[in-house]
Amino acid sequence: MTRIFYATDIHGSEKCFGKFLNAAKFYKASILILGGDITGKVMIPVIENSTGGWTVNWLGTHYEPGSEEELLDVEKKIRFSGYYPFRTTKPQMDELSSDEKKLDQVFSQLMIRTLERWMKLAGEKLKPQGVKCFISGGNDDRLDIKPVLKSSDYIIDPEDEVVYVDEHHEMITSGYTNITPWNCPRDIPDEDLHKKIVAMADTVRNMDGCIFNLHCPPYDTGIDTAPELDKDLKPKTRSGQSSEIPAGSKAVRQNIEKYQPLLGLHGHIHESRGEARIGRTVCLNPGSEYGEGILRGLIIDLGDKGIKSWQFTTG
Amino acid sequence: MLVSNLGTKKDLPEIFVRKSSGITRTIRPVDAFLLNCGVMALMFGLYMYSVNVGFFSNVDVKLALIVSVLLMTPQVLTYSLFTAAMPRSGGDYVFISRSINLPVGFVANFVMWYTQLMWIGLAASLVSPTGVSVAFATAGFVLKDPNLSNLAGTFVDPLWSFVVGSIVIVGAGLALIHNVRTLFRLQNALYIIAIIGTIPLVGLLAFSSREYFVSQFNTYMAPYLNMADSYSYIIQQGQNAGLSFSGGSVYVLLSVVVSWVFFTGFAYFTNYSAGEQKGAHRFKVNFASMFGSLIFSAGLVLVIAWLLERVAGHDFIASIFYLYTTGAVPELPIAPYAGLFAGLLTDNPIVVWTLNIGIIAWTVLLAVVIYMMLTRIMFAWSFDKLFPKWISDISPRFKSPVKATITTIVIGELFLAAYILIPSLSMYIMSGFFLAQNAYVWLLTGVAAVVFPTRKKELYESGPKHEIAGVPLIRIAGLLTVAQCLFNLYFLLSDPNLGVNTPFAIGYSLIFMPVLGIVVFYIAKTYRKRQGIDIGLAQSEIPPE
Repeated sequence: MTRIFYATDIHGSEKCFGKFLNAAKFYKASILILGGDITGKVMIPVIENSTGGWTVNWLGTHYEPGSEEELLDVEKKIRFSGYYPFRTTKPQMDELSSDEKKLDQVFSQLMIRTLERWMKLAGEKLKPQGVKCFISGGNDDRLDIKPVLKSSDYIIDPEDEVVYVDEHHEMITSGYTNITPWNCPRDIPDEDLHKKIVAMADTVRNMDGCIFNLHCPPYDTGIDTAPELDKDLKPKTRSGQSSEIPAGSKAVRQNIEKYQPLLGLHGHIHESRGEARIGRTVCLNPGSEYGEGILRGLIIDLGDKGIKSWQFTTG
Repeated sequence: MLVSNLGTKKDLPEIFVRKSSGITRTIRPVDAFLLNCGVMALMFGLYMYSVNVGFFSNVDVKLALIVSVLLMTPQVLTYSLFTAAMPRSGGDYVFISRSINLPVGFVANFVMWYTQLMWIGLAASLVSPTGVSVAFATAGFVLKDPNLSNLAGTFVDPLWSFVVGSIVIVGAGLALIHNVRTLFRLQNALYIIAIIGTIPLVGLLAFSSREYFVSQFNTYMAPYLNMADSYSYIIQQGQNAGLSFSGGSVYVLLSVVVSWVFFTGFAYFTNYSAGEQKGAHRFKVNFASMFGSLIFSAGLVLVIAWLLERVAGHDFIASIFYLYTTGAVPELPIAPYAGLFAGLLTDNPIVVWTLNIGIIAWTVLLAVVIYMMLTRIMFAWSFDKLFPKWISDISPRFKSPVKATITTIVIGELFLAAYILIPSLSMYIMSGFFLAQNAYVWLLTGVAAVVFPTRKKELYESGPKHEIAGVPLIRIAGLLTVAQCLFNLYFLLSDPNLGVNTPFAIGYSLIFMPVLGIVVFYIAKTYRKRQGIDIGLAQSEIPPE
């Protein structure tokens, strides 16, 4: 039997990443899969003042760390919440406030630096345990993180490839999704996503044991339900209530219907935790609550004849 | 390190956000406020006023309501702080599971679920006698139509109470099956109707005199009692039955305070859907929606109770409700609730129907708002493998939890039948409901709040801290909640007038309900173990370092 632990959409939360690494030991899993959207969205400036001290405004609280140790403690708290602490000065802050391009570069640097540290940590923790770990990007992750994932000597970035998770089960992976209202780095038209999936699926040797690790859930399956947004990206309401629509990919659904793999692992829509069946394929979305430092996940036990069991976790 | 919770310094930018996806929470604070107000529905508050004033006629029940609001403030504080620390759907199930352990969290939540199923039956059973019947009675009086008056009597009949209650339970369930949005539409429509109906209720009571009320009541009762001054007769009969209208002890007053908790203790229901609520990680937002609804709902009841006593008189209201409930004056045709008294004060049929349809809407609303919470609880258990998977199935056709809803309908119907067919048993069920809530749900949540900053130090410290003299506010609130529950339990178990200290009620609520929860938990645990699933893992927190 192979036990997989799957989580997704941790969006830069160092607390969730730490939990993800520890999940192997905690749940006795031999395979870890992190399904995409691993980088953060928010940067918290840690500002050096004229006297050499530091000030931070974060979650409605004003901090003035009195020592390097206290500063590191505040920065750790920020990282644990899924934000990037960024040591800066007031003049640099002013510059970033008015220069979107420069701000973008700082974000990229922070993401890459964080991910490099994470990859190192993952190797140190998981290598001695002999745990196989797959980490790929999602639609929210910039393409410049790919070299970092690929350069790791232990972590496997399985995207756009067919990999074996164990000797019986192959896996195809894509972090790309159909177009979202935010036009994220890996948003592509459904037709292009279809081509990507087919290119991998056609080379799978044993579809009966195959896992489709596709960040985007299949369309209209109940695990892709998201608030309908207006042109200002605010949730639409009808009769005073939030309007919800299926936001998954038709290409993903169509290919699951066609190829009928053993298992579909999905994420992307945080609030749509659940399971769905398309023919023989079990499709699972563990959801995400990274903002609260909660690691939503799935323990999946695979036997020789298929899925033995699966269990949602809230770690 | 200098740390200030008094707000960030405005000259410093707090964050930079990159272009990315992300909107998850859809319930606005105002929705949360309305949902909590729906649970604390006006008509139930006025029903509790009638019960309290009838059975505790020698104390000021309005003063007791104010004290009850103060008494429940720590509970609201505890739930607000817990929700901010763990802004996830599931409420006390999550708080207690995390802070104490999963079995205790499940049993507390199981008791909550079970009691709310009883509540659906109870709320539905009240629609006919307190809503429909009163509507026909006052309409019959105003329109001078004996057929309508006779219909009023019909709807007090147990069979019709069951039929009307079933329509409410099944109707709300079908709305949820059709679509979650349909249920919310129904809820919103009921709110609008209820609020429109409340306007004439308040207006009629505010602008009528005692003399006019007495005259109208005497006219209304003339066919039933065959006397000119039924108003004075009712008060006299009340006194003959042993009622006194003043001189109650502090103990009696505090008993009424506890009785009011049945109404004031439910201002926190949005914590069950906190994962979908905007700003749920902010204590102030949670406190505003919970405490705001407590103040609003209790305030509305207080105002109407004061107006009722101004117009109809405290002694009269106490007497008529006591006499009707005990059957001492069998000639009283229908339940003497606020709607009846207000309805007698107008001769305009439109006003009467507006008022009464509003009252019916309030009573229906009471049953409807529970549905979402019950199905969410079953979903959470099903995800955690504590309930069968089929419970959380979403119908491909309706995109709604059909099986969970049908389960709720069936059990709700059983409680409705029990409540109507065996009134004595149902009284115990109702009392047991309250006892179990105090002993297992609120008390354990209070204990969880006390231990939370220590047992889950990292989780506590990762969020915004609220402390008083270095002591976590959640710990203080938890301690006060425990004290409040013990206070409630003392009165519930010592005062026979609260109807709980019977062997049946105690056995049913303090032993049967939690034991049933424990049995369900260990059956699930054993069954899943055979499948190779350890349900203890579902909520266990992985160390992050």
